[in-house]
Amino acid sequence: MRKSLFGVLLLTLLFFTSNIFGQYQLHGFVEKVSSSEAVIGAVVRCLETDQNTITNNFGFYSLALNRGSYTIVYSSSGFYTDTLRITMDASQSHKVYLKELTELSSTQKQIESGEGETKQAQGNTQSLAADKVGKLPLLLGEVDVIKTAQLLPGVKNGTEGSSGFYVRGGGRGQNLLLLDGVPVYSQNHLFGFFSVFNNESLNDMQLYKGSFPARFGGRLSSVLDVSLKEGNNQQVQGSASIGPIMARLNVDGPLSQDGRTTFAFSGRRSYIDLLLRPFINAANSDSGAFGLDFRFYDLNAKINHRINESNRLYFSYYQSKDVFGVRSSFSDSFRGSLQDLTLETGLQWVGNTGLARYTRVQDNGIFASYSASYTRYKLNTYTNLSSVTTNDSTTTAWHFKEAFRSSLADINLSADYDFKPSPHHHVRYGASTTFHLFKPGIRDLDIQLGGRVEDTTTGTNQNLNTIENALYIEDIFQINKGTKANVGLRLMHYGTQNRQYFFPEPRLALNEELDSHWILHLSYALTNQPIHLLANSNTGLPIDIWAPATDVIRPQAGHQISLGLNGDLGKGYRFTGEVYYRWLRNAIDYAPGANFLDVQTNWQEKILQGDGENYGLELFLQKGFGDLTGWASYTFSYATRTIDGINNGRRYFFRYDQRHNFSTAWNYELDERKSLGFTGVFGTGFPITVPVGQYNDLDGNVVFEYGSKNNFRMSNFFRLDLNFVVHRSKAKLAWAKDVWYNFSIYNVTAYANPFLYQIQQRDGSNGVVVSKLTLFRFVPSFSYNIAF
Amino acid sequence: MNSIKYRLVGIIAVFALIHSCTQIEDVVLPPYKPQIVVNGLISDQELTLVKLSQSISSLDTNVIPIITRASVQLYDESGALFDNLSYNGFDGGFVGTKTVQTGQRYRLRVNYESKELNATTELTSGAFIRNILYNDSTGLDTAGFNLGEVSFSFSDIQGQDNFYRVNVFYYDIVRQSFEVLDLRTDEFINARATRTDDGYIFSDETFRGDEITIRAEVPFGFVDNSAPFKFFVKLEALNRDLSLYEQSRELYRQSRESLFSEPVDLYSNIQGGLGIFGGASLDQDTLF
Repeated sequence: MRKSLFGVLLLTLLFFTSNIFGQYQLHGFVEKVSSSEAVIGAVVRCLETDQNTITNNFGFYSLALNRGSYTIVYSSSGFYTDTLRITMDASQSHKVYLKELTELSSTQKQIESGEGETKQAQGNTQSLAADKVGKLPLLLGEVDVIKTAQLLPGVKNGTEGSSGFYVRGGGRGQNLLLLDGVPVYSQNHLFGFFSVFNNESLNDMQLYKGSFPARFGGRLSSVLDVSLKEGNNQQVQGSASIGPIMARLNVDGPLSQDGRTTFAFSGRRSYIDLLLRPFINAANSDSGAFGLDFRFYDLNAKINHRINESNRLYFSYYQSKDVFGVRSSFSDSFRGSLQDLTLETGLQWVGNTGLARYTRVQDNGIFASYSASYTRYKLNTYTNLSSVTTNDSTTTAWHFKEAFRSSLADINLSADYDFKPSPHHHVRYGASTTFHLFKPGIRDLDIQLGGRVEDTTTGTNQNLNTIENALYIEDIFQINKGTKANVGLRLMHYGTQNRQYFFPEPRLALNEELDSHWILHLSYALTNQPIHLLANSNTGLPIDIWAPATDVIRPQAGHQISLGLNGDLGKGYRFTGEVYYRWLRNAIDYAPGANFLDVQTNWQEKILQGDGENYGLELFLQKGFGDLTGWASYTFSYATRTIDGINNGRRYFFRYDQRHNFSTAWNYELDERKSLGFTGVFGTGFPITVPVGQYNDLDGNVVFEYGSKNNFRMSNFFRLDLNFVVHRSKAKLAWAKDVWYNFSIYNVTAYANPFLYQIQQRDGSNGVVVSKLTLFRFVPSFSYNIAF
Repeated sequence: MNSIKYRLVGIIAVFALIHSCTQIEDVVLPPYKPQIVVNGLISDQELTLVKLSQSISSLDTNVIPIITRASVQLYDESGALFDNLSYNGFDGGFVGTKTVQTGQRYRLRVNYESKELNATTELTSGAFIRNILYNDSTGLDTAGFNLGEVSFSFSDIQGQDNFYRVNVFYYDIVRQSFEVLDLRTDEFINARATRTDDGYIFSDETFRGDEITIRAEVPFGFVDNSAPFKFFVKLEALNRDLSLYEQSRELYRQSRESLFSEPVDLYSNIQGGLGIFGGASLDQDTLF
């Protein structure tokens, strides 16, 4: 009832607004000339009125204009600018094709700079194009969009080589990863070294830090909005690559003669298991065998169908799976008996998303998107130990099997609208409902040992279903000539078994144009997060357990204010400086002694909640045009938590508190065929908890004293990476469009960066040994790539 | 020329492999400032015993130093000196001369070199074991043998928050000694108690001021009628400090055994140092 009332009010308001001004709608899509795929974030500007807008994730734009003649300029970074002369005497639709920049001189590139980008720039937002990511250095030959995002200001990588990221003092679970608008809970491959996003399948990526618009919600720290390619509607094309540990294939093209239906498919598979198999087989003998299953894959598939110019259908599916398993068996004979002992242990995690979306451009210029989606994350660990003993007369057997399962599935329905009712207002509104189906932790135990027989399934709150509803509206409007605001409100409802939560979430972003080159921006956002990620912080294992907020463990809440300055320095250089302050309520952390894999204890008893405080300064200098492109960023930050029951209620540093971080990434086009990439990272150490002292307890046993939580700083982090891409001469290419080789060196200086600190008790004497484990020192890699 | 190229590539590849392997190096922690550790217990049935030692760096391989020369005094609620403790090598600590009274609050003062440490604790009144009973046949186990049950009761002390530690031992005729009986078959113990090496600790939160009965299963063969004893029951009323300390110690033990556990510091009520100054009132009974 509330929803429909809200919708009716909203539509009535918009209807009257658009008619009072007596304006006409100019709307349509901006697409790539080569493939008819959407150009996301293109700037559409009316020169006469200085009205501008940017295309949404579907390439859609809309302008409200009075009767008259206008010049409309369409521009986007990496494309030629296009201009349209138009006479408005009725609402009309115009599709515009932008041609990709290819072989332009530096001077031309500067001319083609996306004028208006600075004016459109929002604080707290970073954009990355997939093709630019591909030119940066790689770890083991693998392009990774999240690793590139880690080089942006305010974004930290956590541990060495990890594809997890931490934004402005928030936890990894406070980031919303969207793949075509669908949340992805399975975030990494290969113990966290690679993200689940296959760069070749991506079209665009936007990262919102903290103060995200009202259309996003459910997380506190950031939104990483990733859009998949839609597929070329003119010809079938593709690319393939082979690197040291994995291979990939990407194909896209038209499915129908008229190009109205397109597809895009991409897949990756690691082959570490295949490479290791001969060595493992050679080491095995009759008395014992060892097996290792160590692999991952992911698949993206998307089909788009244009019913007509106004109506489109999208279907997409994504799946990723990681498997790590060890199997060993031994045979031993003793006094006439033969014993066969088998041990199997391992873990696997699986992620799936499925999406069906229908978009429609209504006659009144409203862009509507209706979607139904499903996403799932599943984690399994298992240990099976079995024995069969045979002698002349009898056979005895025993086994011990233990499995742990955790999963989360979301079913989502949403409707989103995008509308430009007047020259000074750009309104987005919508509603969504998400059913969360949780299984935080279930343990299966099957024991048959002597007289003991046990077959049990344990786990507290085995099935927890919750619902999350949201209504939102945001309006980007021109207050006066130099001042633009994005004012939004998100109403969130979260229902769990014993409690209903209602949260109004105001969002505000103000942009004040100081002159034609500089913009001051101020923003505030309140966000709430009703699901929690219980991630293990002591080891590098990617064992993630998602759990819902309940009547006991409340949703986390975060406020953020930020003030920034964004400027065009000329010659392709842009500068952004920003200060932020974030405070968290009901921030979660593990209670002392909590073991997150212990399902005997209710998971709600393992978590404590309290306050968090984060603040910092971020500086970002980017050069977007010319032969040399890239950026340098610096972040100064503090992140603390104060939680009753942890550290005696005293404030302590957050696990990913980092005082200084400097990151830089550059790409230099040597000539038409060769380019050189460079990244550098320096960061001060993250805090961890180590025992500082030892003493006797009441019974005279030696115990360790930690003193305070996160009492020790890991060593500083420093890394320089290089990348060299060389394309084969076009004259030598046969059927392929392009062939290129990618040579990378990760950690050129072989600096010993900390991956993990191990704490081991000494054998035979008091004390511990604390040691630093370093993983990647000077890792060269090579990949062969082909486009057809 | 080509062979030189290949060799060069080979050398570079080997160099790269060596460098990309994992490396482990020992870490030196910042200097540690040793603290005085006080482990003291007061009881209504035994003389006060306080053990003093010093903490050392976690990296130190030496034996933890024991303090034998210090001034250790016990003050009563009025602030008057109650007892002066002196070092006794046999007990390994400083031993008092008087038995403390239940329901009283005491302050421990330790002076060592130029440092003074203080701790305050109260000896709560004790609870008394009643009605120890043994029934040798309350049902059958999965193999068809008789299951027995031992039960006992006690009344919660009214007007105060109480913490209890209970342990039940059966007499093992083969070993000729008392062995610990698993009490987790009792519904209350299973749901509310923390299992420690010294017994099951729980609070009176759910039976404040009332009587409670603990019933534990006794597996077939545990009790032999020819044995001199059947069961030995130990019930301690712990004060709050000792209860928190024991529970943190159990959590510490569990967390030490798992890679996935958060670190735990033992509870301490010693101002200016580490350790515990706690109290327990004891009652025990034997079923023959």
